[in-house]
Amino acid sequence: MSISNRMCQILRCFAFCVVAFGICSAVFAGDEDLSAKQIEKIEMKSLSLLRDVMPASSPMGFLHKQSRPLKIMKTPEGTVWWGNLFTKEEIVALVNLAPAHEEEPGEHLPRYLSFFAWQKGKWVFRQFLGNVYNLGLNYRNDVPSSFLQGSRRIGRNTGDHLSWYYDVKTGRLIRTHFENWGPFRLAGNYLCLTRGFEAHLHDATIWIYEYKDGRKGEFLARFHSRDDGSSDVVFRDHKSHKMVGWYFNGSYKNGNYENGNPISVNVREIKDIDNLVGAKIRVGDDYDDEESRQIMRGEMVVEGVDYAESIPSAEFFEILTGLNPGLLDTEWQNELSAPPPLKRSNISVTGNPEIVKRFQWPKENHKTP
Amino acid sequence: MAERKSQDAMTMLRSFTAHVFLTGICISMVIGAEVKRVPEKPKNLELLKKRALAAMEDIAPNETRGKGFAKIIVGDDHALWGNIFADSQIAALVAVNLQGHPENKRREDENLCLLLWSHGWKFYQYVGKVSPYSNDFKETDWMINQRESPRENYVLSSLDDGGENHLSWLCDPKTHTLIPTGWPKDALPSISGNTITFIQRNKKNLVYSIYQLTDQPGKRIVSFHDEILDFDSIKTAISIWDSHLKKMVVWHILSKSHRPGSDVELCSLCKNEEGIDNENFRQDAVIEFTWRKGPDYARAKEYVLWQLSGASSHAINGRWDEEKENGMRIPISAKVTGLPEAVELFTWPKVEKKAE
Repeated sequence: MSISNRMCQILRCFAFCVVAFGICSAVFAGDEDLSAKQIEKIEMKSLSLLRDVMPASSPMGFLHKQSRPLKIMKTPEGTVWWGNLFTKEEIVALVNLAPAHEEEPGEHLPRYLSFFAWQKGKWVFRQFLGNVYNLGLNYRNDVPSSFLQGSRRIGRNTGDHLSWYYDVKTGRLIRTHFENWGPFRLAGNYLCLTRGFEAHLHDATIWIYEYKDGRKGEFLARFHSRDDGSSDVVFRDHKSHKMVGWYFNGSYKNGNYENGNPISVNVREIKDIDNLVGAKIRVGDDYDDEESRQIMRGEMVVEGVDYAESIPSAEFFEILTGLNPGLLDTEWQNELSAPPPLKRSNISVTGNPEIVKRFQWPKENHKTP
Repeated sequence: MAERKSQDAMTMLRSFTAHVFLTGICISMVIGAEVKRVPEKPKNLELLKKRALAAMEDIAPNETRGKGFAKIIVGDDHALWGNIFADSQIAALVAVNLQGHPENKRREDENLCLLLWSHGWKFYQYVGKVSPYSNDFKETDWMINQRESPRENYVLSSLDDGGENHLSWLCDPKTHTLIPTGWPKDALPSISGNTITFIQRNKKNLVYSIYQLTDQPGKRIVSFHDEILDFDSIKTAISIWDSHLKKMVVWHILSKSHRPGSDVELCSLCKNEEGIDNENFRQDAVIEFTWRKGPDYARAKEYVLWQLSGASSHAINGRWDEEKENGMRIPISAKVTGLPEAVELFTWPKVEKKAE
């Protein structure tokens, strides 16, 4: 073999090693830029936490049903969850190390998570999952069937929410790549995301997407409410196919709500959808900008509603979107129970005819101005 | 003569019978008290044993656990394991919750069981009832607290009756069993150094009583309680033995005022014999405190208690030595005017007496 051919072979070999090393680093580094040595140290520390855990010969029972007992061990060094967390056949463990030292006020130290499997009488390291804690396990009847969620705070009002599903074929936890600014739940064929670490103490928001076979689908609707009683529903209008937001603001006069005061209805066309589907929120404004423009206005009076509590938002949500108001609940559900028949509140509406058409009830009581 | 002798004999017999009867009653009471110290065996003891062992079945300690205990949660049951007896014996305390977590229903007390590790877990003792774990597993009412010297561990709990019935056991390294301490059930205990503090609730206040401690609580060192007079005014009554007067006295501290933004705090003192009506506060002395981080009545009270009794910050605040505490906070200065005894006791820094 000539010298040049040999040199080419060596160079190819070297290039392959570099690429392979890069891939391995990327696979094992998780979300942080940790070196292989650092990850190995975390693995050793996690293993030492597992030294006292020797699962009994008979598995304790498959955990797929959430009512099954989960085994947890908490020590000053960290926390271990173990058992048949994902399948009947395999005992696994999630090990969450405690911070390296006591946190100062405002400090958020990493708490590294690792995944181990019980094989032939010992714990075998399977996967490093990165800095994540506040773990939760949820299960479904379809595939993927097991989900792990966690979060990590990195600032006072900032942090990520991470999630994985268990892949039966590889035996590994795979990132879902659902939105990372808040936790999620699955209800039937819908993925519902809720608020995360951002400081919006007065707001509650749910983003609803289609969901199928482990994948997040199209954005369907956003429901948002404030503790001052106002709320809004954003969705794609069936007729115009435009993204619209219906904003409801109760009449707040003289320091309180009064029953009988009209609710203002402000309907806006949403132009900037990206801004909408993220963690940011919008409450209806009266001016037009590059994000939205007003297209309809109206007022309604809802009979018998205590405005101090809230506007009947779930009812409005169902009327506008046609979606099951059960999605506004916070439970994981394999299948969404059919909603009870919509019980309409008596509402008198004035203003834009489209608003009247949607909300006037009973229809025959509408009085034309 | 014979008649008199027989009467004397009858009298003696009656007296003897009465003594035997009374002695019998006393013995029965003692035995009854001893019986009550040992909890009644529950009817479902076999089920409790099975559940307790199942909770620990996956744990096989490799070596001495070292510092701290590990908490285990298995379904509705939870446990603490480690060197519970402060020696090399590994043990586990398992609280078995047979009721589960029913919603909207008052939760029943749990059953505390002791297991010992010796090439496997073995059920050793049914300890008794303890308060249930909260539904989110974030809080448990029963816990193990440590006394540093001598090294002893105590299990504290209360029954689920609003926390009015406090229970405590010594983890006895000689027998490797839990022994009821016999401490008052209406008081929350804590040990710091060679003192034990009991916090009891009377009609209006929390009363702190600090005792010397060897094996059992001994002589009372000091007791005190706060009375909140209004929004920013607190009065503390401190009851302590006065070695000069040879009687119990009560020192009252009243927080006076401080200028906003100022580091100076004023407290009034009044001293009376115990039992004397203290309704009208008589100002016997005034302390002017200067603190590093601004006025704080809690620190002023702690300082006065420390100077009077020598009790540690942990003892005064009803904390175990292992609990984190900032330690006694000493003022930058404490200037005292009024009663000479108060000047001598509370002035800070201390003025050294010049030799005559």
